[in-house]
Amino acid sequence: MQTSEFEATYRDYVDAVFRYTLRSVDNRELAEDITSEVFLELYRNRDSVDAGKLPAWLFTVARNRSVDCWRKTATEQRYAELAPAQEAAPAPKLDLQHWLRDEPTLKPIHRACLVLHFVHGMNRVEIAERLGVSDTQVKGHLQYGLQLLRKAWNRRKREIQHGFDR
Amino acid sequence: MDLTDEGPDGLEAQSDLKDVTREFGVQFPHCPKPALVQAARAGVLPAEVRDRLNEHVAHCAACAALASDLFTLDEAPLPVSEQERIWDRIRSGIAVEELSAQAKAPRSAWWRFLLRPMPMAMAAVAVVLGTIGVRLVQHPHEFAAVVSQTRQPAAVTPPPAGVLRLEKPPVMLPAAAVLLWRGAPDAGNAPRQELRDALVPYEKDRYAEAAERLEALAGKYPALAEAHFYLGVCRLFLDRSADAATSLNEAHRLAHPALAGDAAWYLALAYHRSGRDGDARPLLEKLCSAAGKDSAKACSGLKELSVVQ
Repeated sequence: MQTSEFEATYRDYVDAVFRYTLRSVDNRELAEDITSEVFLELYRNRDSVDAGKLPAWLFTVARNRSVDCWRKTATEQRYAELAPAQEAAPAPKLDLQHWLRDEPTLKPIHRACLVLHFVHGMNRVEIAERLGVSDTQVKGHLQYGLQLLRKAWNRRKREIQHGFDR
Repeated sequence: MDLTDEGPDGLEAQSDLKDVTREFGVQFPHCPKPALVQAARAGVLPAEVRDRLNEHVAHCAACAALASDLFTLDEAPLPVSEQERIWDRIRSGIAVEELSAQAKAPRSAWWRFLLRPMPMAMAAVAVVLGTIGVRLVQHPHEFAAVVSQTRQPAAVTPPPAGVLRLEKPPVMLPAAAVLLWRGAPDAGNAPRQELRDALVPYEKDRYAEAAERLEALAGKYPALAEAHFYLGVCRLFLDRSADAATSLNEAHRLAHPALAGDAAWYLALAYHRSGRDGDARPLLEKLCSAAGKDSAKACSGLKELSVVQ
């Protein structure tokens, strides 16, 4: 594989490899590191890698690096040991499970912002970093999500007032 | 829950929704971090943990929705700037590998070199100089007068202003996932927020004040690599290189992959400024041979160490 061919291969696959790595490690900087290591490994093995098996080869290396990354941190074991079992919660005012799943006007970006903020306690800057958008955009998405939530909540209050209980 | 970093941002005014937003915490009290759910989905966790996470996601609308939404949102194409940054790292990694391959390549027969015109001329000059040398040893007094008239005081060479100079690293706060990896799953955003506060004087170049705050923070959260890292950098700016080396050594030991390169670079710098080039060298060698963003800088730093020695 010539250098120009190698660069063309990089341009063809970098998007997919980075996306896979980002999903695996959930950290943009770390995903960049792993992606560069994957392509450097390809360069080292450029004479032995079968071009027909290239995407699979790249994803296998990316996967192995991501596994190593998690293994080093051993977080997964911590979760397995520490995550408490689900407890019975009091009857909810608004069934958010249902609302998050079925609200038709709630787009992925609004829902992700709401869940990252209200379930995971992330602030606007952290959400912006994670989603690769601006702080101001996150604020807008949260406000829109809250407008939809208000509508659902008002609907629910009316149902309670009229004696309809789900 | 801190949504407002710099005062009311419009969301605080929605007090009528407080009851229902509080419900998120009640209805989803034990959701694993999004990073874990995504890693389980990507198949990079051990089967036992993956199964447990998947079981949770199957019954939790928040985690199921978030996993699916993040998958959709991460489909966005990689920005060109990020693509170029990764390509630069790869190119510098390739350059380093090619250099080391050249160094290991077998050489041709040494005597063939002597048959080229330039080496032959150099050999002739060497013979002439050799003859003068022999005469100098045999009759030193003939040359003493000439030397005493032409000798100049030795020039003091200033230290090279190359890459081994102190530059202020930008503030990089640890991601929430990284805090979790470092064993602070219950600490929430407190260490991150306190770190951000402690770095305010650092950003304004008030290193003494920043060092004081970071020292307290490193004591409070001993596993927070960034606290040790910025404390070390502040100490470097305060010309306390030995203390800086201690803090940066701790940062290097604790560092997660995103900080490891910077921690190694500044630790090498602290060693160099403390006159411990022997300790700086292995750190720079490792950075130089890795395909990281500091690779090219570290290779040049290694050359500078050799010049200084």
